[in-house]
Amino acid sequence: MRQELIDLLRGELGEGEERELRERLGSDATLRQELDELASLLGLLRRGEEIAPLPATRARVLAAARGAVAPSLGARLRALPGLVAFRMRRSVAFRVAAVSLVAHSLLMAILYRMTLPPLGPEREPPPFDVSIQEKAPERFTPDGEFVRRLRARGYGHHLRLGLYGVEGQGRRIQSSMESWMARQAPDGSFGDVERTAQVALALLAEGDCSMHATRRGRALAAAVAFLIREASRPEAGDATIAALIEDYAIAFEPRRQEALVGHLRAIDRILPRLRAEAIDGEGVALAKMAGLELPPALAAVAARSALLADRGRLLSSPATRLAATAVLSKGQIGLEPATLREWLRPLFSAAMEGAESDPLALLTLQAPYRL
Amino acid sequence: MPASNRELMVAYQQGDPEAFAILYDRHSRALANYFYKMCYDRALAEDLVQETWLRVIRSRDRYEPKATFRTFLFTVATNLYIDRHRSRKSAPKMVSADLPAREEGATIGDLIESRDRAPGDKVDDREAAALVQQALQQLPEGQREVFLLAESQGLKYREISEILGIPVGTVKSRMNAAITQLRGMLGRALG
Repeated sequence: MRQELIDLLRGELGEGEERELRERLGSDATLRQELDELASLLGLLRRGEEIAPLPATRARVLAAARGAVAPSLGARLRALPGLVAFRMRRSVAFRVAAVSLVAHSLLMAILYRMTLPPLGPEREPPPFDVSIQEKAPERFTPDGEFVRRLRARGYGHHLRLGLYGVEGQGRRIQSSMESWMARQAPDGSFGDVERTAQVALALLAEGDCSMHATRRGRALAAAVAFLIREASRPEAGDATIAALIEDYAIAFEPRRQEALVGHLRAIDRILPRLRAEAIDGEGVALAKMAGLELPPALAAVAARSALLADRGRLLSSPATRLAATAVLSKGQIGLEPATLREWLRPLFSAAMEGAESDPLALLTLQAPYRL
Repeated sequence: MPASNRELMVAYQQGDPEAFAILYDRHSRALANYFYKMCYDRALAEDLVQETWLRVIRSRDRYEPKATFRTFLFTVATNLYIDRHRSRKSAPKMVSADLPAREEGATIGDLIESRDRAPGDKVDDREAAALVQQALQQLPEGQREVFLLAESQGLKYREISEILGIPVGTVKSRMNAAITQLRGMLGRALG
């Protein structure tokens, strides 16, 4: 019967069926109530955030549409009589054209190579190196130690999966990256701080991809410059942005690098325990988050969320205590320091009195929020 | 009298780009919201909208006026979504630092439980939107796409059946199952 009520609300019943159902509704109060409830539910479900495509998307699509409307070669061929005979001629002509094209390409490549200066240090570096090295000589060199660490830790793997879901599919990764780069605003952003940080790290992690290294370098340089500007703006340069930047492993000051690595190691150690222990009542939300198999850098964001969700009830379970520890090891999580201190004071006290046997709690003593 | 979608698509097939522009303006918002409610990822939805239209452009010669344009459009869109998004299912899910904490990880039940609301209180619009988003995300994908095509896009069962390539009976049963689940998840929030 519910199916018929749904169909009635959607106007999918035939005339006879609808008349019959309306007669039944007239005499059946329970059925009417059921109909009212379904109508309320559908009304609620129609609410929700709506989005509109960007003007830039419209411009790109319409440009493509205009470019595609010229009658295609295929259409012209189909219109010609004597199709079979023509196809034979076309086949020969295409082969001749293809061979000619390959021969010309080879010749041009050889000539071009002959005119190049020898490879060596005197060659001008690509823009990627120039703009990034000005900011942080070691960390943003494409072949530098920092990038090697990123790759070794599998950030690229996680981000590729998370952003594109295309592990191991080089062409689609490349297509996605190009799509991202096409969306970069003049200020270097990819929409917002978080998205820019994600994309910047993806660009870094894809350093050994064979796609347009110069374009990638420029996009990355602009993205990083955008993040630096955002982090330094008085109104936006709060702990949230700083935390985001650290979350995505693109902190800018070399002296923070070791702290960052330490933080990541701590998170790595904590995650399995979160999964094992976060099963009690108040840790349910965290358990669900931990069960999501978050990439390590994002686990801290999840832990922060757990803190926010728990509000003042922090530390009432081992799971949230561990989450607090995980978050503390980052130092900055986008919460007001006073709030954080208030929530975390019991944990600090326990650690300092030795009552907290969990060695992870000792991490709190190294955090900027020490009390 | 404004031209029908079908007439516009035929005009575009014959080389009129302005006809295509009208089609784009008529349907892009609906398309964007369909994708957005399927994945709740603005950037991905934007990419999918663009790619759908590019596929429409590429396959314009295959459009036959006997099919309604919306069915054609959403068939392209749905196939694209299947291609692009379902491969993400095995990927680790990401959380966004910009989302309020209550939108991350918690179930509808958790969200409702967490509100200190008197039994008769109803949720406001923003809360309702957040609850609906959570509820839709928890639906199995097959049910969600049927529900969104039916309720968000106002497509008929027969059109959905054509778009998804499944029998009308299956469309109906998925719709029924989706509403039953949504009702279970949201029933208490309705007050």
